[in-house]
Amino acid sequence: MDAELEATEQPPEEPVEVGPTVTLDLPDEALQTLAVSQRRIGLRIVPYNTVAVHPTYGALMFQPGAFGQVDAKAVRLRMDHADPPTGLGLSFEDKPDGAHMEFQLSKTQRADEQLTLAVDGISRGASVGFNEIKGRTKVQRIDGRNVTVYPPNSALLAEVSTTWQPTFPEAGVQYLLHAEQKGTAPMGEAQEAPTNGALDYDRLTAAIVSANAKTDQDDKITKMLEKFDEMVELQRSSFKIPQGEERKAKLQDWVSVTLRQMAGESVSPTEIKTLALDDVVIGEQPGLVPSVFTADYDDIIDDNRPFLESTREVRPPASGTTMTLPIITARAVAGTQAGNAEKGALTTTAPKVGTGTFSYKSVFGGADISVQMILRADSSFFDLLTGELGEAYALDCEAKAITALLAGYTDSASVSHQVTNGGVLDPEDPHFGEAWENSITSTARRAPTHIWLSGAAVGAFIDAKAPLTNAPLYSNLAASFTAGGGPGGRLSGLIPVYVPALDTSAVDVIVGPASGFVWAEDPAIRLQADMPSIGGRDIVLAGGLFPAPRYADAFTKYTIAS
Amino acid sequence: MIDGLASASHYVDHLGAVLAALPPAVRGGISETPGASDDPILVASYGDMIRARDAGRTRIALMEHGAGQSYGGRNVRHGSYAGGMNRGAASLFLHPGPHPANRDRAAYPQARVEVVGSPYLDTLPQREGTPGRVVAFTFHFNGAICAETKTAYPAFFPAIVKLVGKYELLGTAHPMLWRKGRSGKQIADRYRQYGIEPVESFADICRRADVLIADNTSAMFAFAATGRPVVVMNAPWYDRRVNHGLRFWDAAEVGVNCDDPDTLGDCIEQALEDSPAQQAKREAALSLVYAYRGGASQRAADVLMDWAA
Repeated sequence: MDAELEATEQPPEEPVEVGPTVTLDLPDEALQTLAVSQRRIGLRIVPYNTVAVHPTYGALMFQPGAFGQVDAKAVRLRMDHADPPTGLGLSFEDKPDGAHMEFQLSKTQRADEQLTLAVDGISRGASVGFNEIKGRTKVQRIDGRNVTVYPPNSALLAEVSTTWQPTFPEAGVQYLLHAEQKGTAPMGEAQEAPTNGALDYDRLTAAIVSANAKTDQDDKITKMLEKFDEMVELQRSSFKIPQGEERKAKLQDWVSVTLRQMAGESVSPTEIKTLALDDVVIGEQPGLVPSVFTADYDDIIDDNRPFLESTREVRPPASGTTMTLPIITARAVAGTQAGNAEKGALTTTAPKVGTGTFSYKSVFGGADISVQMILRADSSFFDLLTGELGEAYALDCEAKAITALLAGYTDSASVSHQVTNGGVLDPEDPHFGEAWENSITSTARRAPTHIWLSGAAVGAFIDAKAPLTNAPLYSNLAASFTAGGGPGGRLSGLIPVYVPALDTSAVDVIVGPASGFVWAEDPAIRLQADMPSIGGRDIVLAGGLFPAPRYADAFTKYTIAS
Repeated sequence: MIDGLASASHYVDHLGAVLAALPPAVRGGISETPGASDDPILVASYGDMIRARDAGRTRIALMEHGAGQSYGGRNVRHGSYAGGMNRGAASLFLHPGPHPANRDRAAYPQARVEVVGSPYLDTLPQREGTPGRVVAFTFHFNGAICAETKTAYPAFFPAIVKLVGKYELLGTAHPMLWRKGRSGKQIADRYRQYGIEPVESFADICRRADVLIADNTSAMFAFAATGRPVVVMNAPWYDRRVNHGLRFWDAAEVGVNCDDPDTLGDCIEQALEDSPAQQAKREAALSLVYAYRGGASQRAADVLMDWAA
């Protein structure tokens, strides 16, 4: 206080004259205690020696004993100063930090709301209504401004209301007693139980220190310690026992275990379980690739079958070693009217449908490894081996498909479907028109869509230059050629596909409609070792393919050398 | 039985001489498509070797159908040429001379490689009638493998056309070029258009021509082996810095080299003179190509019998 000003009023004489009721919203939490089950609420109705500013009466400050002797039961509790009242005073206590009151809430809906809002922390402030006893206040200069000071016995307490916007910052909830709990505990901690199992030691310590500061609240300390124990238990109960990352069965592990089994080694169930293969490794057909790994193999194999991936796959037959497909051996021809007669006969050609029968071709992807390698190699080796087997399998699939296409076949109507020999292809003068004509006039009646190329042929097209200008003839092909994706762009509208299997084929280039070749694959892929009794040196991934060059006559083949 | 497989007529020419030299008891036929069999089979091209392999043949002999030209100077490894890739299906290689034999021997050390000469030479006819000024010419197909496999046609054919009337001209071409294009627009039609007689058969060329003009073909060595002169057309895109061996360039002196089409007539005249110096160069070049100048058919047949036994 800067200075004590002259009293504006004389000390009171009985009877006292009181002024109008002043309602003062305390600027901070006034709610001090909550006993929800007992429907009790404890409030610090005003802090002492703290300046608050009333919008009408200006700066105010209460000193200890300002309210004199208070008949608590005469004080009503309201919510936001609105009727009806929600409770009645139980006790009044003058404490060094302020005037405290405890109220008993009625069993009314409004009181329920008040409790709920207090528990939820929405309305935790207090607003006090009082009547000034005239002549007992004084004005003091505090912090550069005039403050109306209420010394002891200078005011009459009229009512207390909870509010969400208090005036005094120090007013607030002191404790909360849960409906299910006994004893007391800081309200905030009880509402913010560490659901994740972590303790907020700072807040807990602060609560204990705060409780210790109040020598008359030993019961609260006890309850806080109980709460602490509960929180520790909560943390303990929420602790998760580390389970370890769930291991997924890996293809290379299966390859390793299977090859070792084929080599005669007994693989312990513990190891199989450790590798997560206990649901995968079976005894009856140890080499049969489990369905769980089919997708893994497909990823390896499909990426390395550009010819097959660019043609049409069909469903394999359920059984047998041949696949029969319908073939259009003669296309329908729209009729033309003979002569000039109005009712002259139409000359039409009916479509003829035959069948083509295509044989199953075994496919192998092999590797030659020693038994020592099988038994001792690291998992990374089997990862490499698995990839090699898959790629070799894919290459053999491609080779079998190309061979079947070039071999052609004869359908059920004795129509021969043979690939046309286009001779030597000159990229500088490719004569694709012949291939187009051949394709469109074939039984397929389809324009060619693709050009499948060997590595040498891709190189020849990239290097092809105009004889006079020396400019690249297929700049789009050269620009789009990447090591990973192969050739791009178009060659006279044809989609170029680099086919590694053509590098070991009799031809370098095939032009035709992608739909003219279909194929089906035996879904059962097996890992086999040729001589397991002596170590299983030759390892193969074995499967089968039904290559069906249904319209082989729509294709034209070329070489680029003689 | 030892079978023959030939998907083109000029391969038949090479195989026929060998199979004819085989004892009738083991002499098989020549077919266009391989049948499934355990019998040994003789082929004269890379493509036919693959076809035989894909048909399940396991005993395959691959005989060179030309001079054994390859393009190692540019590291070309196409299977069509000696030392190229994917020729491992053959367990016997028959070569006319050491150059291709060495390449296959290096690439396929597990295979048997024999130098027997060119059986085709045994079948070539001599000049019929009175020698004169009949000039034959031939072109290679426009191969995409490298610059030296491209045809010299664009550079030299206009010069040849200018010779019409000055010589009796016979036009032929590599079989792959001869059949290229639609009917009416093939090279024979082009020859005919300019008053040049097209002659498909190389045997007919041998019967009628006094000199052969060629760019890159085994026919130039075969013709020279009959004792007649040749003119070697060097297209501007042939690179003398690149040595493939044989035609490029160790054996290029098999004939009069013509680098400039405008001098083609002079080169022909020089070739027709066939001076002793020129003959000496021809013989030296031929010795690089052919280890033997005769008896290759029987030699090849003997090797085949031994290999197939």
